[in-house]
Amino acid sequence: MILTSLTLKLFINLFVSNVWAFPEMVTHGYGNCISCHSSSTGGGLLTPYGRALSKELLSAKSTGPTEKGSEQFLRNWYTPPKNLNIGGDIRFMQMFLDNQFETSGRGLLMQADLEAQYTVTPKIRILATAGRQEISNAKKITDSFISRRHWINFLIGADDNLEKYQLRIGKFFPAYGLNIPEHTTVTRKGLGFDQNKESYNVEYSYLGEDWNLYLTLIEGRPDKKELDREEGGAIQASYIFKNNSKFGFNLYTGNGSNHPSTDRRAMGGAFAIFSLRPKLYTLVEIDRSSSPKKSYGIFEYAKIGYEYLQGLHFYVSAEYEKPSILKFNNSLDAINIGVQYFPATHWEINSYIRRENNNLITPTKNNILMFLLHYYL
Amino acid sequence: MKKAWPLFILILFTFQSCGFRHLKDGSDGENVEVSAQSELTTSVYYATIEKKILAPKCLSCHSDAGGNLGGVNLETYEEALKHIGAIKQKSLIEKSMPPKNPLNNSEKNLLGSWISSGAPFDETNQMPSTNQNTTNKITVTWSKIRNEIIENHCIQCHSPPILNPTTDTVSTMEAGLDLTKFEVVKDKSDLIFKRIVISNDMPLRPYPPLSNYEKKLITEWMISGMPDDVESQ
Repeated sequence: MILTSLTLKLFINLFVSNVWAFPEMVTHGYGNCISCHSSSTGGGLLTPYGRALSKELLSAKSTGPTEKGSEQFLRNWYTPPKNLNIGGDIRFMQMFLDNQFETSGRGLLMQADLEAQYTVTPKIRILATAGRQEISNAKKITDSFISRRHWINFLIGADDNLEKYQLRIGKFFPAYGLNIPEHTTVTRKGLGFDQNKESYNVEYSYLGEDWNLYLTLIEGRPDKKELDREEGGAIQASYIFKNNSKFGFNLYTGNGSNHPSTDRRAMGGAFAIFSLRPKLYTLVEIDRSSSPKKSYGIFEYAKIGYEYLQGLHFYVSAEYEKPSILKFNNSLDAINIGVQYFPATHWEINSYIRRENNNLITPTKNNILMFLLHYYL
Repeated sequence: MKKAWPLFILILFTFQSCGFRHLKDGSDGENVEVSAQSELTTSVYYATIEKKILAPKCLSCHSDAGGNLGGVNLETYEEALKHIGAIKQKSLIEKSMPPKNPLNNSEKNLLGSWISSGAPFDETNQMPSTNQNTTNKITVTWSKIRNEIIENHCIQCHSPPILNPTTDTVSTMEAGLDLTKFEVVKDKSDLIFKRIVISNDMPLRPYPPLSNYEKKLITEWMISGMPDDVESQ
């Protein structure tokens, strides 16, 4: 027993390093998403630097001998031309659900996307994704092909700091709140930022050392008016402090393209990413949404995580949603306990158990066990 | 890491094959497979359809919270009846609904049985008269609803603060609702129907719930457009 304990301590002392995990990257000095991502708001295609960090600092494999070039596109089996940066995501989900109505299991290929960015000139970049989606008559989705994001990005900063000011035009999510990959959380899905809900926008961003500012004009989906996506605007301002933490504020207003202006929705909120200890971090977001029909609602998300070993995170997160205070028994609260593991370069396994009291429609107590498998090309 | 690719594919197919669904019998909470045969040997009523099909399969999209996709809301019996033709067409004939998690054979049998028997609300309402062109005389009016339901079940709490000489209590107009007024009841009909018929949690206990006859009465009144008073043929 003593030997086991000593071995474990020795292993930990030898191999532990700093916390690295998606938005939590802020906790180690990368307050700007463009350090690692092509998108000014984060997520999706990695820059060459982001690929290197994912290998060296994100995955557990890098603590031992690593395969040369494993962080490159298709593990360096194919080298894209100089001006072309290619990536992609494959995500698979397996969920087990138990509630008073049923016990069920379901596997689903959530995402299979290729993503490419072409650098036209040093100041102009074009990016597009191409992937598949499930056809859904209910959601008026008739085509299995989808380009979730595509845009043209103008870098309008000074020559010595091109990326400081950016203008982006195309299809993407407006900057709002914590841009976490768990798209079903109440601060993503609950606020209307669920998967495939991207809209066409014009975004101006200032990405300074301390401050980030995003001004977004939201044009909805002018190509598919029947989707009734919101048109409006959003503002996000965030401040990076102590080189490892960040907090920000959001404002948003939107109105479904097929709705009268009296149905306009407004949202406001705040979010923060704090590095509590070298390996302990927390993410918090709280939003208030208001609309004429629903009065106002509250949406909250909080997560605390601990990187036990490099690439191995344990976390607890809590969610609360009350979309309308006018409605009695109209709320959702959930707690998730999970583990996130990056076993090798660009591989991610995320598993959690979720206890959810969902009173949004029919009062339901859900017990959920989730497995997510993600590979970044 | 080249060895990881076969592993990935293996895991993917392993996960892909892991799909199952067992419905539960709400009466005892035990895990049971739904037997289509057993369901069909007895009449199927709205409560069963709401619990086993509408809530788990439809309301995530066709509800206020789900965005009322396609302009369809199936949160109440009244709304479900309005769309009964589309439900049958999309779920049983075209089988295009629900799009991601289609009905299994047991659920199709259950839904088909309910629709073919006239989509009854409960045992006292085998064939709700939704067809306004029939010659059935509509006898349920606001006066009847007020006298037989509102007065007996609602006004103790949902009326202006007056002394009730029968119960010697003072009403408090809870939730700001004065249900003695026709306009208020009509405006809040969805909520009222949901609370007294669907979730059956109103009147709040220990006050007794509505009887099946009373539920049928208010359902018919709402389906027939909530007529204000004496209606003709």
